[in-house]
Amino acid sequence: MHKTAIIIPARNEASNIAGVLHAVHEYFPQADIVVVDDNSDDDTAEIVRCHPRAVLLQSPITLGIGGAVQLGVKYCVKEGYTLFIRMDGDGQHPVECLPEMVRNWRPGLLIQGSRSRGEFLGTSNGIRKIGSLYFCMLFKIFTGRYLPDPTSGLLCFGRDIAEKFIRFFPSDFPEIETEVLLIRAGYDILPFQVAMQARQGGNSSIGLFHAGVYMFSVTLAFFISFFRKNPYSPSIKVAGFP
Amino acid sequence: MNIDLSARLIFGGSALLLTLGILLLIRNGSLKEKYALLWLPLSVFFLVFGLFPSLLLWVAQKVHLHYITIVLLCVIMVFTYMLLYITLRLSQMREDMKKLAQELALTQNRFVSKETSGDSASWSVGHSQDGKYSPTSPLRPKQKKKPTLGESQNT
Repeated sequence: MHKTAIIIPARNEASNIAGVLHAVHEYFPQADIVVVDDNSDDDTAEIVRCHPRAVLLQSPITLGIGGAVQLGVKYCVKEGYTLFIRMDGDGQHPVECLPEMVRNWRPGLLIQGSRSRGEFLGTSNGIRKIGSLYFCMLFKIFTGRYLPDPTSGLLCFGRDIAEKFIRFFPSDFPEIETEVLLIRAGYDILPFQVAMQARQGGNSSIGLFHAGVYMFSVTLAFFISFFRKNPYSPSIKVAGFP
Repeated sequence: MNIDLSARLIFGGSALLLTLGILLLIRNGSLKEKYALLWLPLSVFFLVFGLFPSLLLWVAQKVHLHYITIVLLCVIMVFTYMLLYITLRLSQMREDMKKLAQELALTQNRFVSKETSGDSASWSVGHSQDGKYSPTSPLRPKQKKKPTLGESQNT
């Protein structure tokens, strides 16, 4: 049995986080929960602190989603966890499929919880829809892989990939870039079909204003990723982490 | 002549203000000397050519820059490189800050968990009496459990 940690980066998720923690505890009680509070303005940290099974990591500055996930991974690797799940704190990621997702895991594999094409076109909002279709197309053309939902943040990975994530993890829009680098380093990405929930409360981090910045940054990062020195290549060891 | 004088007053005056401002910032400790190395020559450049605009023409003729647009382009290029340098430093600092904040959060967590494991009983009692949440909250019944990571590893 793997020592499993569920890493939940949360910024201003006070309205959702209690429900997520409860659901995780219900469906996946054998996993430990690590919530990274990314300098929230609301009571997110207080709610997590009151939960008996959740570990709280609090950043004094806003790290960005990538920095928060990396912090959670750093903690879990130091604590000796062997299997890692990264999910959102807003309740969109279905918890009931986590045990099944974990069963599919093997070393060298990154499992990505993905919407099916039909459900995806039906539920998500316009920006995400266009963004995800666009990046899906980029992946198909330039890597030959079919990832139905490449921007999904529901991930399951082992210690091998976690140690790579400690070494490098982009701060702002990490998913696409890390996927390209992992593929280049010879890791495998398995799309695992899940049914995403509708948003329960709060606002998505991707607003209308940031959509352009998002598309530009991630497209640039996507293509740069093919030409940069790969921080995930197997020969590079992480200093300080055995 | 009149236009030339007012131009001198405006450019020379603002350049003088810039130079004094930079010196003041260094004195206050707001600006590092390293960056003053960047700004001070530039402000002196502005001061000299602001007070004596004809000097600029003379220099331009000497280095065969006959078009004012070329001179402007040169100035813009210098500024662009300075801006690039600054954004580069900013990115590096952002990365350093991220690492620091992460280490701080990890250390803080270790400190807190050490504190609670040494004084676990009283902490958990005080903790469960923290009546922040209504009894209808799904968290309530589970709060009797011991809030340490160690226990969860055994199960």
